Amino acid sequence: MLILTRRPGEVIRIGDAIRVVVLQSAPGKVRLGIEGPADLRILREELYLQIRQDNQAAVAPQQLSLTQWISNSSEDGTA
Amino acid sequence: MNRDLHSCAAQAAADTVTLWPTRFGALPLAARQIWRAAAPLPGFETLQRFALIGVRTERPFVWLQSLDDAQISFLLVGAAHFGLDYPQLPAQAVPLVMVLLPQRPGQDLRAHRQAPLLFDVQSGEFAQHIVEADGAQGSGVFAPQSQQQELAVLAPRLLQLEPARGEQPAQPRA
Repeated sequence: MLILTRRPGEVIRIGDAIRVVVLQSAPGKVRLGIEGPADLRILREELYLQIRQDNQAAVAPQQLSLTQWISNSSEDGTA
Repeated sequence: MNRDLHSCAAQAAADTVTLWPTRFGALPLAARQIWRAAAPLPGFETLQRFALIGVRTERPFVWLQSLDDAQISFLLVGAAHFGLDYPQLPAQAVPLVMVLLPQRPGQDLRAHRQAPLLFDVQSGEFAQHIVEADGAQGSGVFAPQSQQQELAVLAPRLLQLEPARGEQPAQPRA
């Protein structure tokens, strides 16, 4: 891991297209501004990990379960 | 004339049908029915090619079936059926969301509300957009709408199957 020390107002560049600006630092917290291409996905890691976990939970429910759910819902009058 | 020839060749390529193994059995897909992930799905970075499969009796749900791994598919539905709206997405976008089926009796159907998928019918590409909790507005309660705008939009690139009969897998519509 590359470790750099920066002060508020200073910038880190990643490649040619990405700028990370240190906006503010306070004990226990740092505020960053990130500029990059519009299609670059920038996320807090905890959100990315949550989405990855939810995607994995959404894989391949058994088709029978959907058929069964539709059938049950029809009987309940909910679908 | 050349333009006509190119156009005919492109049309022929789009109509070329190939058989793909899927969770629904081997399915014939035209080139135009193969979707490409514009950016990898988190957790499934190696998967690039997919098909959208609709079964008549399962509307408004559709399946996003991986063509790189036949065992992987996701159940999707238009976000509107969960009452969800995404103000940050383009106004004309028709987002779909992944659906989590209940694992126990009494549980409700749930949407993967912070990660809507947008399909671009023109390019044949789709992407999963990730939003913060306040980027998804609406109830998140499943309440199917009679209007199924997303299915009409996706129709040119959607493989429609007839429902399975008994032990037989679902069949492509003739």
